[in-house]
Amino acid sequence: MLEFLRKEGISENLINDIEKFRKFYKVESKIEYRIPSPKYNYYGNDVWEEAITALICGENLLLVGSKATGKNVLAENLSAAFGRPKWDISFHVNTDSTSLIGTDTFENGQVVFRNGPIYECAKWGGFGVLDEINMAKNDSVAVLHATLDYRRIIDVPGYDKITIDDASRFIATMNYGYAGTRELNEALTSRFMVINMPNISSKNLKKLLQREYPQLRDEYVEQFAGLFKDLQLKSENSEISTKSVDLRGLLASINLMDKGLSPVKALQMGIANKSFDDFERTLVEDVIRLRIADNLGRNEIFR
Amino acid sequence: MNKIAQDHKRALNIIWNASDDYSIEPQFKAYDINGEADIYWNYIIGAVHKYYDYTLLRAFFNYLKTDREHEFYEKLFWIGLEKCAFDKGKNERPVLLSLRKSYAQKVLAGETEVFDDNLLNVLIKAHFKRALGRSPEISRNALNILNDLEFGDGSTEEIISKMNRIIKKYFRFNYGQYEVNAEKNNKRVQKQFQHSDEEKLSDSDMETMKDLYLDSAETSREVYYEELKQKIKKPVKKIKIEKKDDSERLYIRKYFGASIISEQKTYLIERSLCIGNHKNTHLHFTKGEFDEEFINDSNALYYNKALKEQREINLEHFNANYIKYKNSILKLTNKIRNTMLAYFESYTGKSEAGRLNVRKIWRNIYLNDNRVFTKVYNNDIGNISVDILLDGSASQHERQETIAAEAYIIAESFTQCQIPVKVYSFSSLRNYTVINLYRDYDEREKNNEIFNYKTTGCNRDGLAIRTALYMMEKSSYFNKILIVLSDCKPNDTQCIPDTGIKQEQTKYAGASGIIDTAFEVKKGINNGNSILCVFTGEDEDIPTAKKIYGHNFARIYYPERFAEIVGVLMQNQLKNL
Repeated sequence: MLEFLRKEGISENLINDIEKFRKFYKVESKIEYRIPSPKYNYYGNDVWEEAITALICGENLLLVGSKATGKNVLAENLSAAFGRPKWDISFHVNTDSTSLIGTDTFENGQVVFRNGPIYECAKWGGFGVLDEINMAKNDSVAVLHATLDYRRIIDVPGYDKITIDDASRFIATMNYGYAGTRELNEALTSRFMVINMPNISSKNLKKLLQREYPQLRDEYVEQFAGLFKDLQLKSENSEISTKSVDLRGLLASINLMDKGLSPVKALQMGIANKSFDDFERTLVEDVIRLRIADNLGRNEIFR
Repeated sequence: MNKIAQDHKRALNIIWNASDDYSIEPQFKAYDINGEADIYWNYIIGAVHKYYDYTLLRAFFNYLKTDREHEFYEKLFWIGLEKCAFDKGKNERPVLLSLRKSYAQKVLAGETEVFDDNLLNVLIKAHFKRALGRSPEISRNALNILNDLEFGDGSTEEIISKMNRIIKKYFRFNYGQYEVNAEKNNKRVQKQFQHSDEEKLSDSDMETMKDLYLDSAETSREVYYEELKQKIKKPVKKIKIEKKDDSERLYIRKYFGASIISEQKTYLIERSLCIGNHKNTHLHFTKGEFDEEFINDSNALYYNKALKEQREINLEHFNANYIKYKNSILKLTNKIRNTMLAYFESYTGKSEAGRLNVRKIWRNIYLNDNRVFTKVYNNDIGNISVDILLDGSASQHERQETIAAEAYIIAESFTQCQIPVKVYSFSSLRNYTVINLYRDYDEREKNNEIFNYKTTGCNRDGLAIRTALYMMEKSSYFNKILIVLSDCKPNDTQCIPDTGIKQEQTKYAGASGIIDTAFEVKKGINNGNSILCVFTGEDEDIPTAKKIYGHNFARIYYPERFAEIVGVLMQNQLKNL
């Protein structure tokens, strides 16, 4: 991961700091398996530098951005770069303190405390990824306040108070304005450094496509990046929803093309059909038709 | 969205996509013979916007319009522009090669539009034959035109000057001919109209015209009286014998339409509402339906006609901005729906009663914890109703269409979220405050009636809000929201009784009007209603709006942001229920 950062031209000072961090905070071998080895790399130097600096200074991060901006990819990349075990905690409307901190349970005739993911992460000095944090009700995440601020403790009523390991960091992600999301309360927001995740730039998207699909012809790297940009622009102008602006869908479509499915059909499945409104789908199909010919074959796209 | 609007929007989207600019309003849009948006031509239109200076091109197209045959020249120009835009765009989008090819094949197969002008058909066919790499096979003269239409890699100015040369060289472009003809025709038409006007205008029409003048300003009460005296001089002698109250009620019925409740009931409502600051005033509830009793009354007929005309104007405005408004509805609906979804869904929790959770029984035995059951907690806010009250006074005259459209957007958005909506406007004339009902809670299909909105007279905001709250109180909904679309300028020529010495100080306007309105709003909020204001007035009245509605008002600076701003206002309100 550090090699990748060097290649991308991230400041050498920051990389040195990460190396120091890794040397200083060891990981117990039994949880080493939790250190991720990312499938995708995050491209975007500004964001990388902001995130690394904040984490080195002991801050928690909140990554805010719309779909396909790479929030989870960055979170995963960060724990890989810092070499820390990662805990993924998906928030939902029924998330409550027991599902975060832990709950008591009955084992072998005794009442015992079963640790929740936040507890585990805090204990082992991991990176906790609080995914879609604004899906949960504000009052149920209030239990995290003491964990996330300067106190760095978890106080479980009736059990114990633990201090959070120095190497632990929390990285929350949220998509503002998604169906089912709510405003994050200020008390919680103030405990994070916030990074506004930019939409992936054309240059970085091309890099990503080239890395993922080295056999893709340059001409079509351009076209797929252009297609995604066209959709993004259309959605930013509220002509279509964000449903079809789906980077995962685009990558999956290219995968299907590689397996031999006709490009138009693959994009239909990966992008156009994500929108269930007939008219919106027509608009998305028009965008596709202005990039990819109906009768295009696999060999024209791949080398 | 109907099919035509959809194709229109689709064409726009292709053009925007091609030009990378969503702010343009293209002069041209292309449809195929089935009326569907044509992907290739709309791309070309968008690409021309992208690669060339369209301000210059627009000026040139306008110049072409001075000729009667402008359509011919426009089409001709587009043949040239097509090649330019294609050449510039083909590297960026290799797909254009195949799109152009398939369009060219369609042209040759006769599957595209055929024009009246044969030369145009010949040129288009030849042009696309060439696109397919075939020889054009046309007369030498036509071939020369076609060759000249290959503008090459020039700037906008160069292209325009080349096109100009073609027009001058091969055709007789009658500059100014169109204008001269148009003027001639116009004069002829005007003369005809003038003539017919002189013939038709009768005395009674003159009177109605004068009466209609009331619409345009909040005239003082004195003026109304003068008008009234003139008017009831001859035709309705009977009224003179009746009580003053009745004669005025008659006038109001004539002006605003039949009452929807009995006189007796109106009287009872007046007894409880027209008190305090609103003593000596009256109420009239109508749906704006023409009172058949006045079928022979020219004033009543004229007003009814004016009402219908305003409806047409409102509708025309809405249709002209169809896409923008439809988008606003979509956005606002999503915002409301999301708020409902995120805040009011049910959740499951521990409880002392409910469904037994077997895994937790041990807690009861060992920890004496009785909460070993799970129960679904309904975070239901109860049913909601929304009342939309439109200020229908003449001060809103300039923006009638916009207000009607805004009210429609809000009503339609709530309707789509299955929330019952009631929409009515208020305005005051003489000592009557008229409530004009457009749709009731259960009339889901009647949002269209909102376009009947027409402004007239003054506004006694305090009484209108008091009346709205009174009606809301009678409804059975649990949470009641009142949205007022107003310029927050209470002004009624009917005074507040028993206050002050000078006549001026007792007018229902300025500070006294504001205080009264603010008081009614506070009373409503204290009684558990939510009252919001969408401010439609001028900047100078914003402090007034704040005084009356506190934080619960939204100012629309940019109409494009209407949905967002109102959405946030609604969201905050719904969250606090």
